[in-house]
Amino acid sequence: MTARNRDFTVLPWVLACLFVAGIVHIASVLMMPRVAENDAYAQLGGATTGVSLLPDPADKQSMPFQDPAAVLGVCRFDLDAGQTRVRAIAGDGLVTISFHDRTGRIFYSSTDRAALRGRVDILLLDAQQLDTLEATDPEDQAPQELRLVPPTRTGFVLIRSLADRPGVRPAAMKAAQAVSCAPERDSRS
Amino acid sequence: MTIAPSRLNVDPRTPIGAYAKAAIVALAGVAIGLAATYVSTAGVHLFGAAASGPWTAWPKTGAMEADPYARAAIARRAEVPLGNGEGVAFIARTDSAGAPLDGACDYVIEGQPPVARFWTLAVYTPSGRLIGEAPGRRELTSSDVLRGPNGEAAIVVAPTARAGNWLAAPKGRPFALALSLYDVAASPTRTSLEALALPTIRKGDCP
Repeated sequence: MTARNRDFTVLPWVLACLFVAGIVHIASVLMMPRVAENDAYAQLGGATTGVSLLPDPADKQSMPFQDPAAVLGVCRFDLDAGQTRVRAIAGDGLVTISFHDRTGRIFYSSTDRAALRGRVDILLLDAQQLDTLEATDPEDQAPQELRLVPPTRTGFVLIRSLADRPGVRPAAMKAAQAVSCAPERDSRS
Repeated sequence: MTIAPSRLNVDPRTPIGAYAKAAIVALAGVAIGLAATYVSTAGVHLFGAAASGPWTAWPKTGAMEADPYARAAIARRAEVPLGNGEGVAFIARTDSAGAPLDGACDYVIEGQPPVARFWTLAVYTPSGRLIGEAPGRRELTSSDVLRGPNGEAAIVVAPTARAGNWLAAPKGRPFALALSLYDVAASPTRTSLEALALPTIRKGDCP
């Protein structure tokens, strides 16, 4: 067998190998958010009622490139347990809130200052809960809260409360804990 | 390619050999595909970078438009990027001349800080761990930085203590800097971020 002939028999196999590699690569990238076990949702923990503060990054870092100036609080939502309301009242410090789906993707984020009438009032609910709620809305009045339908039924809300100086960390912790986050009963029940 | 040529030269006329060959090729394909996934989600995000000097941000990671590679990397590393409505975080791994940041050297970060309600600058390892054992400040914020008469701030990143604005660098080891801007006026897009005049990072002495 000449070298040229051998190339002709190896080439299809090399192409087949690359074809398999390409499919496996694309499939594994797309699947990773669903199969990753140590993702942010698992790492951050938190409960569906109330904001849990994450440890001081000096003791335990919760994420890569975590800002040591920010006090972080987390709360989970689970639409099967009911629609979840997140409320924050603008105070002296800077508080930002991001809403993540189960895979960590951000579907909404805001600061306290972007809030209407000095407060953030966000209701997370699914399409069915939204329909039920809209059916009971008074017709001549706009809803008081911002209603969001998350891409996944579970997920987490991350609160960042910025501590200007090390001395005001307790104040920033208080501001983070002042954010309320809890499931609500459907208005129909 | 890691396949040994001798193993591919199984006589194709015998069916057993053909199956073995196909199995080897398939397994090699799976291995290469998984290796490509491992590598492409390990380091910095592949796509959507917005660079301004040595500073790089990935604005799409803070929104629904995050690409599949970014989503995979975020899930794998338990990253929690800053949402576009919260602000934007820039990371620098090199100085303004393009040389990697090195804890053996002194660096001066200077310029007008960008317009944001609040900003922080912190020192990390290249993979994003906070520098734990450093004795000095590992972060500075817009409210505790000392400013000159025109509002400009010069910050020294060095392994040994300095007067004025000093951030502790890990002695003799590579490091990264993150500049987080909170509550920026506009929604961060690639063009708006690249137009930002961010501070320069100038290398000083390397004692």
